[in-house]
Amino acid sequence: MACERYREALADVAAGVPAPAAVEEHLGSCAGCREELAVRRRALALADEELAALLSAEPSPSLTARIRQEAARPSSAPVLRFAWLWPATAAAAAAAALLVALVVWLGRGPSPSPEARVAVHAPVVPRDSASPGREGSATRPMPRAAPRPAPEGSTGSPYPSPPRRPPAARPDVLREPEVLVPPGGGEALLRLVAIVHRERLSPAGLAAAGQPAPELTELVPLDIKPLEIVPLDPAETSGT
Amino acid sequence: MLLDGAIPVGWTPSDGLEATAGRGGPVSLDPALEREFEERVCDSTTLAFRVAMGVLRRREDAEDVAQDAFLRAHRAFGSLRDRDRFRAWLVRTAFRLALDRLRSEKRRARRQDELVLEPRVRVASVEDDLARQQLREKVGEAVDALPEKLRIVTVLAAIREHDVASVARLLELPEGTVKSRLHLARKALAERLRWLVSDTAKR
Repeated sequence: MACERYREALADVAAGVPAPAAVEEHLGSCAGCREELAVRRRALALADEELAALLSAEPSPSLTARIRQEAARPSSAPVLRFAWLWPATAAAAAAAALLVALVVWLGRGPSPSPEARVAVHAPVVPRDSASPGREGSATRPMPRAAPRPAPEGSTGSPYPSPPRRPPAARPDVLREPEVLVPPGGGEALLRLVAIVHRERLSPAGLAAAGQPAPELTELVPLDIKPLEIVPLDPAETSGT
Repeated sequence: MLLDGAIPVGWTPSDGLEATAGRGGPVSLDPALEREFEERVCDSTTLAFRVAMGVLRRREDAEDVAQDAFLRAHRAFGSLRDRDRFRAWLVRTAFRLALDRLRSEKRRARRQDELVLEPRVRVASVEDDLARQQLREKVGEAVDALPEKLRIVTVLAAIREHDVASVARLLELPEGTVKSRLHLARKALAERLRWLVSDTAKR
């Protein structure tokens, strides 16, 4: 359609661009495009009118004086408005940092001393049955868990050294599994632990400690006959 | 980096005017500079006010923005002594502050679930009929919808005493750029407002 071709050109003409000869010629013969151009021009005239009215407004006479007054007054600058808050803010920040540090430090828990770790992991052996040189051990707190037996062939102390744990697992050192012991049974358990260590877990040692030695039954191989494959009788299966 | 409104380290209220002269602190201009600044205030208050008015279309808000722009100019006046440079800086600052204010106003209105913003152009009289008021609002909305670069050109060019050359000076742009932007802005305005004229003609 011919009018579509001039649509963009009409918008330019309405915005103030001089109309090219071809557009002029088309406008001379097309009432619709003349109307379109008139509408756009009228719209722009309305906008110009409104904007001119809006932007011819004068500020109130007191504005200049107000600006001068505010510029001359140092306390009027927004930078000064909260200046008094600075010492308080700095103090609050320092207090917050201190609090965070305290929480982190408490969250780590008390670092266990090497002695405390021994008290937890090493069994406490009564003076009469323990190896010499550990007199102080009787006064230590009673362990709540039996230690692990030393592996065969290990050398050095009869007591196994505490198992090595990665540094990340360190807070768990004091949280060993608890063993419930009936009232009065604690000492018997300790004796058993000491004997187990001294005798290297041998069945004879366990028997000497009053524990019944496990009775092992002799294993006898079963007599299993191999399966025999018998072909089916076709006469038996054909009737089904 | 010291931002606008930041307090310089070590500043105390008792330091007074002489303490700091940097950007962001209380500024004490020497008497000659202070006189120059006052001249600029007399010279350019209306310009700053009208630029803000072109965006906000509300007198009180526009005056607040103009005042704020001048207070910032006062803090940076050491580098803004040149008259043209000062006016260009002032126009940009007032325009930017007005836009910020308008956006925060719209955000606030949205938060309050206001479907209709308070009309920013006050009805001048009882005879100012509904159609006229609607027309003003629509023109305002059409200007608001322009991209910022076209919008500031439109506002500045609509101030009566401004021609293309003065707008170009204020925006520190080539005249050709201003003309081109102005043309694009007018095409967009005509496109947006043509339905308004068609509706009015049909009534």
